[in-house]
Amino acid sequence: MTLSIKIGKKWAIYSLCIGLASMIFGLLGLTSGLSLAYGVNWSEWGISTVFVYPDIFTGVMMAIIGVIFLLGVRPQWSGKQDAVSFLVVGTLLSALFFGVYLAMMGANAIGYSMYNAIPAGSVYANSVADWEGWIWLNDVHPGIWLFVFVIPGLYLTLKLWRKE
Amino acid sequence: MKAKEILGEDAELVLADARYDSINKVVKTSLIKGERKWSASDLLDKVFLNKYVGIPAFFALLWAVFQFTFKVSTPFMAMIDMFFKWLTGYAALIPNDIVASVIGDGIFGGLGFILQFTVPIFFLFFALAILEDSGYLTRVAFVFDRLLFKLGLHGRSFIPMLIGFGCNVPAIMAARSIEGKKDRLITILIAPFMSCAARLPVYVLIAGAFFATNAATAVWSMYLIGIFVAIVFALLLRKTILRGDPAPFIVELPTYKMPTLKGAVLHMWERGVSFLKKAGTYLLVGAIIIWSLSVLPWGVTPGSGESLIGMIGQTIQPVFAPLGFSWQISGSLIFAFMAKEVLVESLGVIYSVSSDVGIQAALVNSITPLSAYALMVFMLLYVPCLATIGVIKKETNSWKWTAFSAVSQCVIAYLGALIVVGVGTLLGL
Repeated sequence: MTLSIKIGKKWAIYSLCIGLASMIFGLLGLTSGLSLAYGVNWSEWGISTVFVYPDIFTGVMMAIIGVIFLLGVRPQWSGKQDAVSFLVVGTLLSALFFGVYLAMMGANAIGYSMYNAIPAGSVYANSVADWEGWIWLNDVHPGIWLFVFVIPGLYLTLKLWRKE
Repeated sequence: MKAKEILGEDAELVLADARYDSINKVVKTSLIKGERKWSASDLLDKVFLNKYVGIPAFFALLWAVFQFTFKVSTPFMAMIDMFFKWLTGYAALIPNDIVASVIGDGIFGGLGFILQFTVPIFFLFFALAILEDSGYLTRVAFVFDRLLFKLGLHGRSFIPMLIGFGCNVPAIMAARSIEGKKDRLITILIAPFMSCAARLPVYVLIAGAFFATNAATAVWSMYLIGIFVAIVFALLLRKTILRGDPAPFIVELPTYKMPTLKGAVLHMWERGVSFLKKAGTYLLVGAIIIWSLSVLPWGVTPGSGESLIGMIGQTIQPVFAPLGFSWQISGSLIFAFMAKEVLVESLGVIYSVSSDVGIQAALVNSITPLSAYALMVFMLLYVPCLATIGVIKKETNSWKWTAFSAVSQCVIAYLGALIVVGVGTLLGL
């Protein structure tokens, strides 16, 4: 089964970019998460959590998604039709994680609005104390904004899928 | 053994090869091959069934499930918590002290407190329903079969194990679908190690208190440890008392389907409502019994060392001293034998608090984070509930295997928690 080499090469380059980006940001997150466990906070060096999110497992998950994209590069380059699988699954997993992260941000927003609505010193204040000082930017990380770059892949995949 | 000597390799493999040869011959004469479009299922299976990324992809999906379950449910849990605080305020207005204490400390402090964990339980069932309805969970059994078969286990065992994420009772019953007697028995014995929804309130409470930003990951790790211990225990059984080769695993993979919101909600409700029923029946009775033990003999400070529950806890505490558990936790572990949620309920009554924040503060003051993680491991591996013991007896039709299951789980739980404390101490945690 073959795929137009021209399209295959385009996909391969696209998968390579997305895969490398996921891998790099994932590994940076993993490393900064490990450093944080030993008391070294990268944000003190001016590195924003929006770009390097210091959480070991968020980093590992991004790296796994990156590996899935990267595994598809070589077969896509040589025009194998089934190579699109890696792009499809990588895209789907990115979309799923994006949805979960967004839901988590939404939950924090609800918690924060409850925190603001309850007067300090009230008997209920303890229940919402977790959201003290929360800002939405704390929840933005590469797992969220990288999805924007995955959208063209999602579109391309759906388009070809329908055509085939 | 003789067949293996004659054939030069495993008879099962020779049979499988012969079976596929026959199938190929039939296919060659009856099927005309042509250019075929790849279906969505083919595309997805290429990755999800891939021998290198199939298992990491499963762990990644499971991690996403627990992030969703734990973190998205927190504001809703806070709402229920505030609701019961509001009700407790009204209970305090009751003029009769005993009635006010039963309602305020017993029912709202114990049962009311545990009801807030309905939210993560429902969220977990919702996420699992989506994975199940999409057709993915069957693939997980297939992906793990490769690993399990190498370890001498039956791939089908993984399906009851996955069901065990919801409840261990149907998981044990699902082992009926396994043909070999030894394979079935091994599956029954390892199914209780899978972390069921009833353990979730315990994890959420402890992880929330001790591991703050990494709480969801700490909870996720429990599920991974459960799978790991189940596989190791199965391997141990296979190499010792239940020797033999596993039967080959043949499964028809359904095509992937887009899960519907209605279907997922219905599945979630069917499974989650059993937790609500449990809360309305024996968890309520349990709350009242535990409250009675915490205030008797009459006149003692509720939940203190002088109360009946205090005496029980202090008697058993030396056994758990190496794990760093306080007498309050040790006493609660006895009641958790009935059902895992009861631990949370009894901690609420013993510490005389009616909110997760109150219990979490009390726990932080009584044990170290290392002991807290050990407690999570103990709760994961310890006998899930009385109902599980009952169903093991029913399915094995043997008191011997039932006793073996219960005792081995207690021993493994203790050893598991001890390993956590030992390794953690060595690492200076």
